[in-house]
Amino acid sequence: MKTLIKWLAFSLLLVGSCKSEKKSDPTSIVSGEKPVVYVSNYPIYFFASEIAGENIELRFPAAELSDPSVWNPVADTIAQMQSADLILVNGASFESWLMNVSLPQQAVVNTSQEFSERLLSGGKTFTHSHGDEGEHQHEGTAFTTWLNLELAAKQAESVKEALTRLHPEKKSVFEENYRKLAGDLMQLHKEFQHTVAGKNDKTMVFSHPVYQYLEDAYGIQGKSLHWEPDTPLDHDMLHEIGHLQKDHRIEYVIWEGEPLAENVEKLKKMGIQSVVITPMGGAADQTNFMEGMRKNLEALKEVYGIRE
Amino acid sequence: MNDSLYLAWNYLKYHWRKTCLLVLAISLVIFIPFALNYFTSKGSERMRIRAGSTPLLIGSEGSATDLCLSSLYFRKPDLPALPYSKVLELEKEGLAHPIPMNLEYRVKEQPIVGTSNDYFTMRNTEFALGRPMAIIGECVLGAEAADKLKVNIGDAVISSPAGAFDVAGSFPLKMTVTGILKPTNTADDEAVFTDLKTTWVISGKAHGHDDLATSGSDSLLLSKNDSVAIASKAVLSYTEITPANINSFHFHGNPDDYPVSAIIALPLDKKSELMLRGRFETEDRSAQVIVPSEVMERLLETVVSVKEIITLAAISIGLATLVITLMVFALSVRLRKKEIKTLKDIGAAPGRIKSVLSLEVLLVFTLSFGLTAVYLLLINNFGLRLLENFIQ
Repeated sequence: MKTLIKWLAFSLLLVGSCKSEKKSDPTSIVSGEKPVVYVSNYPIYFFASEIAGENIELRFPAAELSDPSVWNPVADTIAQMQSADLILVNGASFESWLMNVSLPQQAVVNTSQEFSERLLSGGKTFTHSHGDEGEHQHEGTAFTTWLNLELAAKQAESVKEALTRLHPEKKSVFEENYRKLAGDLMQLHKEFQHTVAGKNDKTMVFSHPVYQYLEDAYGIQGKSLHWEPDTPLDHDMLHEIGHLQKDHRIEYVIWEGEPLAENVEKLKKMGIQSVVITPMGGAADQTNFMEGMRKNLEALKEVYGIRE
Repeated sequence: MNDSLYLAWNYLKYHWRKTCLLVLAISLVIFIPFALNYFTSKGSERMRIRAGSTPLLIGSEGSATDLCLSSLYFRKPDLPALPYSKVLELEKEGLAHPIPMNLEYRVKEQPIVGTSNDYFTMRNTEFALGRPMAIIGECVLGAEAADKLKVNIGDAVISSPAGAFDVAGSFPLKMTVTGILKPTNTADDEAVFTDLKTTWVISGKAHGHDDLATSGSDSLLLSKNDSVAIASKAVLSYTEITPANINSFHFHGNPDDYPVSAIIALPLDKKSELMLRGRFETEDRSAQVIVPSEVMERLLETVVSVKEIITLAAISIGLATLVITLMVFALSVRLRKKEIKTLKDIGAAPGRIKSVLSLEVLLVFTLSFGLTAVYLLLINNFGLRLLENFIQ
């Protein structure tokens, strides 16, 4: 009996020591047979999951945030990402943290690299230099590239190519899934174009300057503010929208998220309608990217008075 | 025979000062050529291994030897820096995987190596403690560097100014130690590894400071409008990168133009290597690509020639010393005439006297060889560390 207890104690010690050794090895490759793929925003997450399905272990560390462009990864998260087989980023200044971290360059794939000449300005940004002769800080670009669904399809293609390089034996599966996804994206793209085409008589303001690609791709025009949907409109904000209404005959405010009821009411009293068009950068609740964009399309149809 | 040995040994014991002097002189004469050969062989072997494990090096046009030695042993290069765009070009070209290196700065006497974590993979370096650097402002120390700087995981090291007159030129950045490497008996043991971007922060090209968009202080701004502010020198950069201020760190100018001292290129295969070398030799005259093992071989050929000359000189000195030693023994026989006569008088045969004198010489040489063996044993155990210090 004593011998048995000794053997059990020895086995437990052995298991314990093996476990602690594994934990203390920071450079070990992520375990498991599936390639580990990290993504930095929801559209890329959606494209990767649609194309690769269960063939990869997909990780989206900023999934908790409604706007992953403000995500600040902690060192431990970056340390985990260093062992990833692939890191898919949006590019176009979306990942401002990328310049502050040490990631293996060969594992990082910028999904907007292929259309870098089509990236839009982020609008009026504040830069600075040190001394009259100093070099200026670089201005960023607008980053919600996926709101132009044609560019979204190109990003999906970059995702497919990166996944194929990583997992060439699944090439045919990835190709097939990508074709279906790209078809759906381009179909929706045409519907967006059809909705707005020739009807750019509507004037609107955007609660945030995040709709540049939507505006550019579908001919929507409007001014951008810096309003939060969950912040009550104060006197200055109402004054500002009042001016815009007077100068540009504003009819709609496009919100990133569901605005406060009191905000909707205040604007309604001024003759301004509130419409929600979600930028879809963060993980969507009880929906997916395609459904979210379709909802956005329905919202636009409402703005342009199209009834099916 | 035993009696002769007894007499010879006791004579040497009685004149122990003279004996010690002779043994020391002879042992050193025997040891020096051996030591020279040992050091050059081991040194050459170490240098060949280090160079051989580095497939290609890319740097500015200039001395290939300088590029090779500065990159392998982390010395500040005399060659001008390459722009970072060269690293991006190599990545895009896809013939080789580039590992950039910035070797401009130091922490006290320890060189700072601004690189990527791929460097550790390339050198098969293992971590004794902690993890690789993950964000800017973190660093990984070689085993010797950690020992000399007396730091552990979580402690901080501060970069030193690039020179005595460079107080404002580079940036005293406080870096957090996140990992310590296992000893490798190479130059890696002495280094402070950090991300390339961290060295750009040290250089001042990237930095963090208070938000100028919201600053109302006149002393901080030369001018300001809705989109641009021109900051005065009163704006102080952060000297430590923390989770609270990391987002304020930004780059001025185009990062593609930022400096890289050298690039280690890991070609995909032999064909890629030849294509890459061909491109640099024919198309890109602003930079050179070298094969470190070839450069090192040329350098060692010179070292071997020097070694041969020194060995020849050592052997000549050895022979001269041997002649002098024999003369000492011959003279000592003349000085010991009375002693030899006494031996004859008490009945020692001439053969026995010759045997005693010969055994004295033999004992001195035996002791000298023994001492040489001790030297060689010491060199074998501690010589490599001495050699590493010498190479660095």
